[in-house]
Amino acid sequence: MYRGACIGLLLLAGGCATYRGSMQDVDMALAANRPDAALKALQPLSGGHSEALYLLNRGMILRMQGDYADSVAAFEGAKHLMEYLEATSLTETAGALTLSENLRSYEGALYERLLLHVYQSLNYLQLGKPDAALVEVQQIDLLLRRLYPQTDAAPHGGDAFARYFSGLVYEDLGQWSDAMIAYRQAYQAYHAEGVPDDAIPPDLQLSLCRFADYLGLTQELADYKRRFGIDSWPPVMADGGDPDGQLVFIFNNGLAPNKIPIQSVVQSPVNFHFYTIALPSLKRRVPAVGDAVVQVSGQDATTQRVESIAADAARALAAAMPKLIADEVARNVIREVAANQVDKKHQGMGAFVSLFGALVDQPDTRIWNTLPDDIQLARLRLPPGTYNVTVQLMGRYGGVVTTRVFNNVVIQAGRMTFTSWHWVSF
Amino acid sequence: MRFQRRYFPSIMALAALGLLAGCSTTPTVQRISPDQVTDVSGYWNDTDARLTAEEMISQMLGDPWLGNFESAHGSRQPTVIVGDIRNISSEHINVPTFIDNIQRELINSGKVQFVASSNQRGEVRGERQDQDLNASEATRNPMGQETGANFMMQGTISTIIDAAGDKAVKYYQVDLRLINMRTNVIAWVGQKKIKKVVERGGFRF
Repeated sequence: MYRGACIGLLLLAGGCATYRGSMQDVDMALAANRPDAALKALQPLSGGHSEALYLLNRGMILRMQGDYADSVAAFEGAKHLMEYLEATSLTETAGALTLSENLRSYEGALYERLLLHVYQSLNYLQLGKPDAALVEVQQIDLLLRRLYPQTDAAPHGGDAFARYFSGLVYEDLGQWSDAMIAYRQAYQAYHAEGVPDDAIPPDLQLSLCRFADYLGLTQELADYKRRFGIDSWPPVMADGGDPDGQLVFIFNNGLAPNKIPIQSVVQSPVNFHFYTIALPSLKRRVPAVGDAVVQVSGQDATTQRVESIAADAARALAAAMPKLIADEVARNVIREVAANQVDKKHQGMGAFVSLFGALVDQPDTRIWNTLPDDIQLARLRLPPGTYNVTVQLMGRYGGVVTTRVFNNVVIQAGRMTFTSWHWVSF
Repeated sequence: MRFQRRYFPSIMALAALGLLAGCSTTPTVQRISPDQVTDVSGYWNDTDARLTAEEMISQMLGDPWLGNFESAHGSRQPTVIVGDIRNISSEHINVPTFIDNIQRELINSGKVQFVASSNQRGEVRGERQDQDLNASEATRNPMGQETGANFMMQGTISTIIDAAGDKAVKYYQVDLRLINMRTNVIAWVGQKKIKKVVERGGFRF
């Protein structure tokens, strides 16, 4: 009887192992820049403990193929589910402490939750709904304020671009005080991540000076000028007085790191029980593209890196590691207690109990890996009109990897037009 | 055999508890009155929309702007066009549905009439242009006969949220105003405030 139950449990727990297998098919389709095939490969992962992750990946792949409306629906589903999953599950915790971390529902790291709002906001902007984009930006602020009311900032980073992007949305809608606050928070977040002044994205440096100047923040402006070595910027023009519009191009470069299992099973020479160390590790997928050159109407601009998701993932995993190790120790202790109890009655059978536990104990390798490896941004000021925008992706070691023309991009006076491209290359 | 009876159930119970989390149940559906208060997540919902609409309609029909207009225009109904109602809150709120509710009640009161908004009239004008070419003389609706609005309705929905951990205080403020199209005078301002305390459970099954 119990042999059958053991096999059943192994199969159920082993269901999590199929996650990585299916994601490999998704990765292969994305590596060929075929989001349609990736969506099909992703479909079997719907439901269960990884539903939120499925929705995140689905939303991102739909974005890649330009289906922003369906991407909004997927991301909205993920958002509500992740909020619900914030509450601690008694059954999942019991399962994770006895069997495997994979029995927890996927809740997402903080940087993933912030980027969910960023990409949802970008979806709305690309659908021509700036007010809905603003709602997402407000939710970024609310999430950070709710989780970290003392600092309003992510303790392990990952919030810099979310704040920077918030500033862009506020600026687009003419809410300039809010834009200044968001740009300032972005600057502080980059600093907290250890980014020096000369590596702060130049567009952010310029925005800080522009809005500090416009809002009459004299001392703050003097500080930025000294730190960044900037003494001129395009003035902020109030009340629709700006004759130009702005093109904001966001380049999503490659794919975020995968998590791979690091697993070691050892057997005690004394009681023959099995012990496991099963932890996830990150494997970065370095993109073949270095940056992008945006050319329009005789102007050109090179994209600047504004977020390294590979670095965000590394910081998040490092922060989570003490708890993962503690849970792993707890699982080993529980298995050892059970095995010792069994050994007292049936000498030698405890080894089978601990082996069963060791086989079921798989590290949680789930991660939102359809995010890009890094996010880059370029901003150009243009007179109102309709433009064809040419984007060249430059190889990490030189040469043009590929070129795409975005036709009929409309620029309106005093407004921003957001365009994005996600290109996968290894 | 004793082994199976004594230890196997406890190990399996712990393991099964964890695996239980993956089980799903069939949803239960219960039909209820649209007027029944149902707060599930604490977000803006149909009850908030209904309460706000009722308050706005009551204020709009009870305030002096209506009588002032009627006495100045020989008991004629004022004509209103819906302008920009901006959602600057931290939640996605279905503004058009909410405004449609207000519009419907005001039209049905017989005291206010609305003309098609800028989003709605494009299709109507296209059809009228088409009638000019294709409809018979007797049924054709000529161009240039639209009713000009006396007032434009504008407004905002905003939120102030104080949240920490599992507790949040949500304050919604809905402001609507009617602006005289000829003079730019703000003829009426309506306001509805809603405050909620939302506490999330720290645990789930």
